[in-house]
Formats: sequence, C-alpha cells, structure tokens
Amino acid sequence: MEFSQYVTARGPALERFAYVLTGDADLAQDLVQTALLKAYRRWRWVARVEHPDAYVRRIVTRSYLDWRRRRSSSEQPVDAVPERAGPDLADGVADRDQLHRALRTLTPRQRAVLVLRHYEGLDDAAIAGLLRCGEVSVRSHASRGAARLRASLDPTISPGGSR
Amino acid sequence: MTDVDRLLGAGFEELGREAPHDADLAGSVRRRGRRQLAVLASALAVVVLAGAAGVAAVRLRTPAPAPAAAAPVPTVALAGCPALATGPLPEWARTGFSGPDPGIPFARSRDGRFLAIVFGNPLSAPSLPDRSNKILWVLAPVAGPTVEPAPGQFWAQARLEGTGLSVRRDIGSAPGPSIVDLPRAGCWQLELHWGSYTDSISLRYRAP
Repeated sequence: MEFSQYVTARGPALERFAYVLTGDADLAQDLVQTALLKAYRRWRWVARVEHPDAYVRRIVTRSYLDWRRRRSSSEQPVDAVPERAGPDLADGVADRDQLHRALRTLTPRQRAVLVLRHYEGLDDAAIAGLLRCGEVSVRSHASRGAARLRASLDPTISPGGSR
Repeated sequence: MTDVDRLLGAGFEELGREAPHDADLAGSVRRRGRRQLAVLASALAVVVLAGAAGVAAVRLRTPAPAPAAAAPVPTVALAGCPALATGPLPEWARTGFSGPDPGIPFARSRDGRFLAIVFGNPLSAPSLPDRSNKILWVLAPVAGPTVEPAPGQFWAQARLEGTGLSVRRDIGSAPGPSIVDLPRAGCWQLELHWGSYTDSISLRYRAP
C-alpha cells in the first residue's frame, strides 16, 4: 500500500484517536502529522515489517506523553481508589462537556490507558507494550483514572472514595 | 463492565466525532517534511559557511572585528491590527467542521475572497515548538466560471507594518491547510495570490 493510500484510508481514524487522546484539536493534528511524517520517511519498512496503524498510534501516544511531560510536572495523582458501587453514571451524565471536563482531570498516562482500552480496544498486554510499562501498572492507571472520573462526574463521591 | 466503562465507551466515540479533519493530510505531511529538510539544509549551510569563515580568518591572521552592535528590533504595536473574529463560520467555509461554530477564530481578507481559519491561535513569531502556526485557507465561492490556477501557485507576500520587512511565503498548491511562519512578531499584511485571485489580509503574530 502506498503512503497516500494509507493516509486516505486511515487518516481520519488516526485524527479521531489523537483528538480523543489529547482533547486538543491543534495538538492532535500536530501529533498525527508528526507520527505520519516519521512513518513516511521509513514507509517501506513500516509497511513491510509492522502494521502501520500500530506504528503511528505508538508514536502519537508517546509523543503526547512526552509533550505533557515537558509541559507540566504538576500532576498530582490521587491515592489508590477502589472501584465502588454507586449510581450508574452513564445514565446521569447528559452534558458531554461534563465528561470532557472530567477527562481533563486525568493524568496523561491515565487518559492514555483509558483511551487505548476503551476507544482503541487494546488489551492490557498491548497497552503495556505500547507504553513500555508492566500490565500491573496499566491496571493501576486504569483503576485510578476511572476512580478520578467517577469522583469528577459525581461530586458526592470524594477522590478517596467516600461520600 | 462498570458504569464508568460504559460511559467512556460512548463518550470517547462522541468525542472522536468532533475531531478536526485535514482533507489533505498526506499533502500536509509531505509539506512538513519538505520544510524540515529546508530548515536542516539552511542550518547546515550556516555551519559550513561559519566554518569556512573561521578557517579564512585563521589563515589571514587578522584580528577579529569588533562585534557589530545588534540591530535594534523595533517594537511593533499590535494595537490597530484587526483581531481575529470568533463565532459561526460563513456557511461556505464549514466543510469538514461538525457545526457552524467550531470555536476556532478566523480572519477575512479585505475583499472577502479568502478566509483564514487560525488553528494555531495565537499565531507566534518565532513559532513555538509545541504549537504550529496552522492556518486553514478557504476560498469564498466565486460567481461565474472559475479557472483554478495550476498547482504550486498559492502564495503570499507578507509585509510587517511599521517596518520595511517583506517576505514571500509559498503556502501551497491551493488554499487549504498550511503552516505560515513569519520572522518577527507584529501586524503582518499578507497579499494573497492564487492565479488571478488576489486579496490581502491582516494577521497578528505575537512574540512567545
């Protein structure tokens, strides 16, 4: 497959992935272009050796995490929060902006893990390989991210897990 | 599956539908590659020239000239320079956007022929490492028959107000997504040229 054919076929999906990952239109486009340019420069190898989607997605994700690391060292992850029963948030969150705001409270790794798991459908092993960490770390980020989202979406739940 | 899992599944899908779309993504990538190569070539040329100059200086054993005083950089006021507009885009410029008001500022050219949708707001000179000066150029519909110019002819002559600085920027083969970097902050007047179409537009570039 030629590079242009690949971009025509898969570009929109990559743009959506980058936007879901970053929540920022400019950054998403920049990351997609950066990743595709890297792929373009070694396209014969990428197309032959590796699935281009996996290659580009990995660069987008790592570039996003690097960018966030450079931009801010002020992440303040919460303590471990157990999953708990409560009202079904999917029924109660009518305002999509509320979800977007809640997503912005996540650390970059928490967001990356949740996006890769719930949007891209990757399993923990694949996410761990992509993020160069262990599966336990993936599950930890996912759990903490979900807890933080729950707390953000339902103000009656504290980040510590108590009402 | 928890309620958060269900919420994220639907929420991410919805968010993805709002993603910006570059209709010429492959072209944007190639142009970006060419720009990077041009910058690299320029940097190499500077290094080579500097090296050659250094060798020549040693051979001549002439004392190094006193460094020239840095040329004063005039402060260019942005007051009076039109600000970007916000709100709904003109109907003819909404292709690729999910709604009439994507929340992206834009500027109209003097005669209304071009619209510059500024993704890289605020535009910055020099450009920032983490945000490019991305502008989507949209051509307004023209009454009557149109003759599209040959590729490679959409360009701008940019003049910095209050100075004699003028630079040419080849924007692309046609109005569309672009990166327009300019050398100094200030109020820039861009004379746009695309074949027989010409117009001008004011854009503010801020110092980082």
